[in-house]
Amino acid sequence: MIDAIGLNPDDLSLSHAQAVAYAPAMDPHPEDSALMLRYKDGDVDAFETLYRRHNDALYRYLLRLCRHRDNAEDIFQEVWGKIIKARGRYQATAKFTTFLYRVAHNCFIDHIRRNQRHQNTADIEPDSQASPTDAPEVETERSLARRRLDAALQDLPEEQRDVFLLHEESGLNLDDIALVTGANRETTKSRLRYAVKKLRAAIDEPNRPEEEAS
Amino acid sequence: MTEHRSTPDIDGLGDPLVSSAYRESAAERAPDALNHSVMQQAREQVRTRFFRPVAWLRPMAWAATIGLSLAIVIELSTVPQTAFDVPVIEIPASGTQVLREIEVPRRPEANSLDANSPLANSPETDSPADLELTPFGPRARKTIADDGRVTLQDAGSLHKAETAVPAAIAVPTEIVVEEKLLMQDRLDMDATGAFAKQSFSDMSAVPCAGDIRNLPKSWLECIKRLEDDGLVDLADSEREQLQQAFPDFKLP
Repeated sequence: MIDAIGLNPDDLSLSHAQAVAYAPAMDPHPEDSALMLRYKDGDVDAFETLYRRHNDALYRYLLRLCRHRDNAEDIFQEVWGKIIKARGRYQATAKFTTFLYRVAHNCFIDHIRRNQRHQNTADIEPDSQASPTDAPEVETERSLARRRLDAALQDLPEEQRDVFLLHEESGLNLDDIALVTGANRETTKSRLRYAVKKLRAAIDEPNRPEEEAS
Repeated sequence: MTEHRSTPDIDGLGDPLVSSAYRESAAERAPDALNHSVMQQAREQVRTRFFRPVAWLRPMAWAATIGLSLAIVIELSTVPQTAFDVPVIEIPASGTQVLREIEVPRRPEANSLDANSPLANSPETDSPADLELTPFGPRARKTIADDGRVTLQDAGSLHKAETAVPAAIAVPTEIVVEEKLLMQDRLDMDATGAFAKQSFSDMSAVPCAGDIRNLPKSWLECIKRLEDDGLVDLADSEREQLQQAFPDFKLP
């Protein structure tokens, strides 16, 4: 999370030590909550900065949670719409990321309840990042691994997939993930552990016969 | 925006291999159309929020303008017209005659007025100095009758009495002018206008003057007419004068 938003840990600790909720506009790396408070006061640029920090991660989270691009985009817009409308009531009492993903999680749950189009079949294709420096064999192996991972991710139970995606995309810790999903910490921990174990097994699956043979 | 994702394994539950594979697999980015739509929504919400007071003030301003206009119209409608326009007084022929006779300076005749005349000590001939003046004109006048009774005459009847001065009584010009000024002041300063209208309606009553007083019968008819008009005080005064002028005449 710290690296993801380009913050120096020293700056972060200083910011926390000062406990400044409303960061001044001149701060080159204002916190999410400060940006949200500035947007609350009408600073659209602050919201744009905040949005650019989280839009792609949230999009990927929803895309893999919904497994349907159209649904994911609908929920994505709904989430940001709620964030925008709730800016007047926003208080920097919790991390903005927790707030954002809790809204997203709830919107996803509402979407499932409201729309029975939520299907078990996925219509998304993994958008892989190929490294031009890799050898073709290595790239092929990685591509296969990504495909297996993606397939395994889609096969995960919804709760486990949700926890894994929150862990990977939002950078939240277990307590915050538990807060977002509404489960207790141990349940969340268990779900994450099971999810990682299954995904690791899916990645290692083709190697397993070789390992057993050796 | 190029994003370098490296989620730290805060709780030690992650698998670096799984995370790495996932990040290589999941590289989607939010479509530009979505980004544009969300940012547009964010801008509109801010604009709406800051323009909301203006949108709220506009009908409020209109309502206030209409309300003030209505208040002014209502206020103007309640102000009496007499405060601005001096009403035209239509006085019957006999009344006109009386007033004309009053306005004519008759100082010599006043001086020649017989002190023994029955009308010489009439309450109607009291000096206007007896008038109790108020900011809105004369309010009442204390009258001491021959028998020692003290009566207070209200402004309405006072006005009637003053206008009903018989032609035979000579009134100094200064007094008449002063009385006219007092009457004008009262008209100008009367806030409600009701009093002024009542006064002018009273003035239209024909006082018993001139030839009417030559005969007790005609005088009595005049008195009855005054009573019919509701001018009881004036009628009583006329009745006393009639009794004094014609002691032998028996009043009904």
